[in-house]
Amino acid sequence: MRLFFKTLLCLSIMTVATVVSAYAAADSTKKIDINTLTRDDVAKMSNKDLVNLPFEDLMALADKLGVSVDDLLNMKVSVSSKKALSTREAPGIITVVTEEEIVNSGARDLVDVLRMVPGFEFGYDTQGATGIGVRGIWAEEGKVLLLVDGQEMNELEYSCMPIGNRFDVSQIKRIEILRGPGSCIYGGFAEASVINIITKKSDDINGAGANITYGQMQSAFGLANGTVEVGKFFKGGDFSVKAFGSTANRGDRDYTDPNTGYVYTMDNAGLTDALKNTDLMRLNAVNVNAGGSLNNLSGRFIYDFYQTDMADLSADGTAGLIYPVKFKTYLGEARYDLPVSDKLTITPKINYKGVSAWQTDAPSMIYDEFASRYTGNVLANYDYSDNLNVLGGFEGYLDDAAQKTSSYDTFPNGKKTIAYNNISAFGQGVFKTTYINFIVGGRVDKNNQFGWAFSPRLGVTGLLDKFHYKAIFSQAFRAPGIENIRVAKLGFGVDIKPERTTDFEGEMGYQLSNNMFITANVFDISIKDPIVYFIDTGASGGEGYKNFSHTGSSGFEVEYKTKFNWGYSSLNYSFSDPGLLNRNDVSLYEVPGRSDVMLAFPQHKVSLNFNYYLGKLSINPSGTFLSKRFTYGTDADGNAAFLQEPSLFLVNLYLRYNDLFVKGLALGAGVYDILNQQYNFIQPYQGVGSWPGPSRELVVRLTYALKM
Amino acid sequence: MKRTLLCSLIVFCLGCGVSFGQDAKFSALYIINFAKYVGWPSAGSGDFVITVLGDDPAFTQLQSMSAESKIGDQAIVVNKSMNLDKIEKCNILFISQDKSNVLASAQAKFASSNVLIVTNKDGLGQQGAGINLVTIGGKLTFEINVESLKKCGLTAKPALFKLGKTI
Repeated sequence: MRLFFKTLLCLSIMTVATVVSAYAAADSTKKIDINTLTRDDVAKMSNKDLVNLPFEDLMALADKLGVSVDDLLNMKVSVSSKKALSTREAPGIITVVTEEEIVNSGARDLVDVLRMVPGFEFGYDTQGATGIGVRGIWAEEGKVLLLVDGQEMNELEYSCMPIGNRFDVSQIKRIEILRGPGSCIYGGFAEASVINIITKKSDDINGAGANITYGQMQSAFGLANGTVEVGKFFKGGDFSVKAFGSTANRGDRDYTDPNTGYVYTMDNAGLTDALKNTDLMRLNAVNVNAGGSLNNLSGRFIYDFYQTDMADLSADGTAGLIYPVKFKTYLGEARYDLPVSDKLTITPKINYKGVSAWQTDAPSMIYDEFASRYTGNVLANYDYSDNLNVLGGFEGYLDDAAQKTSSYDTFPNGKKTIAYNNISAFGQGVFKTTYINFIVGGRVDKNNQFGWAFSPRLGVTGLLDKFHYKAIFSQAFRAPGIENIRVAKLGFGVDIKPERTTDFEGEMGYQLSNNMFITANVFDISIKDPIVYFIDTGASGGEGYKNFSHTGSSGFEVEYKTKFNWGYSSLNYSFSDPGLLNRNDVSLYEVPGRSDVMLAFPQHKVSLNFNYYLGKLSINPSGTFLSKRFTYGTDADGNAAFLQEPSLFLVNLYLRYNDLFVKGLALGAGVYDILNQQYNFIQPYQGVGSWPGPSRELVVRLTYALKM
Repeated sequence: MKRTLLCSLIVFCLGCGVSFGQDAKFSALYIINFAKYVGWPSAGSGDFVITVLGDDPAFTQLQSMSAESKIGDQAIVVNKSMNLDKIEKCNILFISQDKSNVLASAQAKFASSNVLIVTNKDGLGQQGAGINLVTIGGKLTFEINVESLKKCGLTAKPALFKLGKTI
């Protein structure tokens, strides 16, 4: 009986195999009629079917398939691993913003661009500077690394990265954003996120270009800026130079200082010439970015100037002046790509960064210091095969600060100058299989001031047809800045420690069709020993830094993208909650009675960016919904209080016409904040409350690109 | 129960293929067809070598297709390199977008080597690439730079000019 069943089973298998193989053979000889194929049929065709078709049939099929989201899904990014991997395989939660999206959206500055990114929002810091918050956490001071063409833009004193009319978005080719930690590759500025801006190269400019923009808000001009750029490649090398100048207003509404009660009005009524609100809102920027290569040697130089304004009043708020606050940054890099073999490349590079940040003559905050960082780095990248990549390297830097003027007489060493050094080693392995990729890496830092920091990362990613998944565990740290160390030590005798983050992230994505895909991710960020700025409420009244117990956030984000022949769209939703896993105990970030939200940042955010091409005209509505936010301010009776800012719908429309009259000339016009919701930049710690942002703003931009 | 789950997972995994991008797939198909529609002075011996310079998803596609097709009697071999200096011999050099700024160097290096240079970025056809892949109105097409082909000692069959745009 047993033998009978075994025989029957074998016969059945053989029969099925024969039928399947016969069907397959018949199928393979079947003539393909391309006219009857649907888009889905084309998408399902095998390489074997396609590769032997006549070329004209292939082109007809390509037309039939049209535009798809593939270029987004297969785009190689290096922000999370240095090794270029597709966005679906890279070990991190990643957003890529393309030149097309930036240009069509009419973004005025980096704030408009980053507002499209899940989990990103903004806050007011101090002295006229605004900064970035990530996933409900204030990240301006030392938690988010901003790279421009590989150069670290964070200043060295407090590690801050003020934005807002600072960088020219028309120069950007692509932004790769790692929405989680990147310390395992980048070190102590990359605790919460890495923003990697890649500007246009010689072959993107391939000639010369210029761009002018003007914006007008309800009560004041919004911005006026201009850019020129040239770039060319030649035998053995290339070069590009881009220059940008801008002046803008952060906002155009009255501002009340919650500490003094002093009201700055936009019509300057009652103010002396020295206290004009129109000056207090001003943001000025100049940026020059030059790069070039000759054979395997390449170099880059960036000069960046940024200016905000601050008020310096008497205690009763009746007298004082408005003072500029200046940031000057000089960056230089020389690198050599040494191709030892086709599989092994060794890249030594040296970098210089010189920074004068927060420089002001305002008597209450007088400050003038210049800090330099000299960095040497060697990276070895070994592509053993398409499935195995190993990279590793060493980095050492020396920080050197010299004080000209400060409220402190000296640094903690009792001198007017101080130096810190840091050495690090990092390594990473990427092992790819058909369905699962393993990414294992880490970085060890040894700093002569704060000691050891270890930043490991374990990532598992994979593709299963249209589905992809990621699971990432990482640890990161924030290195205390020169002034964090000094203010903590000289103010309150505290030896500041680096704060350390443990982060869990998971992502799943699915390509719903050729034209659309969706991703959803969860995250949990736990920060131990966060470095927090505070003002002593006791007798001293002085400012200081200290390590609090812990802070952090948990939540999820969903992103849906489409791309069709007619245009594209992007819709995303972000949710963060510091109370979900009881991550925050920093009282200065708290909203009394609300453990689910922190000061300044919304718990819910929705962003939409839509594009429709109508010939040479592109129509681009976009918008952001922010749930209610909380701010520290003054109530109707003039008493300090926590206030609720209502939910906002920031709706924009921008139209762009390409090749107007001549090829390369484009005219764009649009309105930002059509509903005039009047966004405020809120300070995420208890201090000066809400600062007015822009009201409804009309923007006009003229661009010309001459290819030579 | 565990065994059932494991079997289900294996069946699911076997039932799935790795997703390949359609854009990359058709770029690779076009490149293989360029090889068929170009006259090669030294055709007929050895393998037909396509080298991809830089990271481009078309590389994986080309590798996958190479076993399914031939150029005349020549088998297709697909290589990848991250550095122009390390490329010695090939028939087609496909320069990825991130390496486009080495086009002039590649032209100089392969000036008299009968190498077809294919690029994938707006404007590079005018800059001397033999053939440049472009997307116009959402459609993947290509530009043929006749002068560049001549300089490389290559000719294109008339059918190719009907399908692409001559510059």
